[in-house]
Amino acid sequence: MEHTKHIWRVGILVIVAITGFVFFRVLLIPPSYGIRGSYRYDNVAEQMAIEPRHGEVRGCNECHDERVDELRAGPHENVACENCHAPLSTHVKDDEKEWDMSVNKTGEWCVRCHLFLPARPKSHPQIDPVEHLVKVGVKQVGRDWSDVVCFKCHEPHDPTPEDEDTVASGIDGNAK
Amino acid sequence: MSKLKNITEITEEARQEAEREGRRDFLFRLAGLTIGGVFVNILGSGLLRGEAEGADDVTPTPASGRQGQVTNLPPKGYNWEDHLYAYLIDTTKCIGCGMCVRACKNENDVPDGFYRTWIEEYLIATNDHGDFDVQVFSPNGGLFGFQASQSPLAVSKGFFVPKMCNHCDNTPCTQVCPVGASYQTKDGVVLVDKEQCIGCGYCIQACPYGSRFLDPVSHTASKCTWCYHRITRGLRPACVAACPTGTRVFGDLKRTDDPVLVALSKTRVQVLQPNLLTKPRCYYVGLDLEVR
Repeated sequence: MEHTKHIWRVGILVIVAITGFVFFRVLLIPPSYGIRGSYRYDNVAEQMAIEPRHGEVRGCNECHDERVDELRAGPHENVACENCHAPLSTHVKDDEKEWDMSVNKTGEWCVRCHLFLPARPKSHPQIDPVEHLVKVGVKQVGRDWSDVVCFKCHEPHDPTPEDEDTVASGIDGNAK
Repeated sequence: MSKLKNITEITEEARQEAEREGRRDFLFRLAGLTIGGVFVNILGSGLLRGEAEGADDVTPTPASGRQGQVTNLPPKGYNWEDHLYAYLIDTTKCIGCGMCVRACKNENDVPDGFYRTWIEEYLIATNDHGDFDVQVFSPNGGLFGFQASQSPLAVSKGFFVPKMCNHCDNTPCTQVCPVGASYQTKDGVVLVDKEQCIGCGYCIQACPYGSRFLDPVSHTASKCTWCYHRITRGLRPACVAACPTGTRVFGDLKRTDDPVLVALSKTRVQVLQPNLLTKPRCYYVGLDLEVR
């Protein structure tokens, strides 16, 4: 029996190892890990709980339905309000207006969609801004169109010009 | 030295006997350890099951005490078994305005210089030999739109291709994650758990579409989530909501009247790099030979 001592030693070591393994496993693995697969299931709820910032048109419609209707009637019907304005979360807090809504009214912003590019589908209305301004008689120096007042002729919610003749009669783009 | 001497003195037969004895012992010990390991595993997972209350509840709800910064819980009763999301990109409609890239950045706080979705501009000219000269541009991922190109090519055709995470069914990226931080939800979205991610970057290398990046702020892998916080509330992803031309369409394949499902059944669609068998759930219309 004097040779069984080492077996007991190994036995104790094994028990210590198992206890340690279980202890650290419980300690290190997050509670919801492995419920649905090898990931932390709680993270799904965490991802879902992030607050959306863009309200889409239904958010805008709550207060500005007449503007939305106006937009829907014209060729910009599919342009999201938040493209030229800002995300809803910068304007509304807890369903109440909290901050003023910003809007981008520069010609640069119009040109972002309507600049002539060879990669754009031909059916999409595009202009060479310099050529276009010359054609409608707007004085503009150089190729910097950040200050061009496209709004003189085009109302962004319904951008088709009301009267082609008044457009062609000439407007000074630099006069404000 | 004496030990060595003894060993050399043992006869061949005796040494074989000793070896056999040792092997038997070793095998017994191995069996013991294996059984022990299995026991520990069962015990461990059993403990976990006991801890996680509501494991059978299909709606994901945060375990108590671990909510942290969670302020507004998603609508209760969302069942991810009822949805299978898919995405359609009609490149023939894309005007390259970059509103999607901008909306994505605003919605998800995407850091400067990194993109969860981006737009590529392809300019192609046929050369003398009937081959194609191709130039691809993506200035700032299309975040500020595109300017008139300075390409020297006599462009014969051009088009824009929006790109993003393809949310593959057979994902290479989640398979390589060593800590279980990247996973696939039951409704078909590939997500990254920021808390678990160690930022090793294996998934970034594994993605054949270049859709992942290492977030310079959190130092964890980041990617498109199809705006999981929006789609589970019934909203569209920010990029789809921002698209003025209908290039980007978001759908749920478990709905019979779904626009993506209709497009899949009625039109000819492609996926990026189908040879890799990743089974993307992001479908394209009007891709060209040069697009990978």
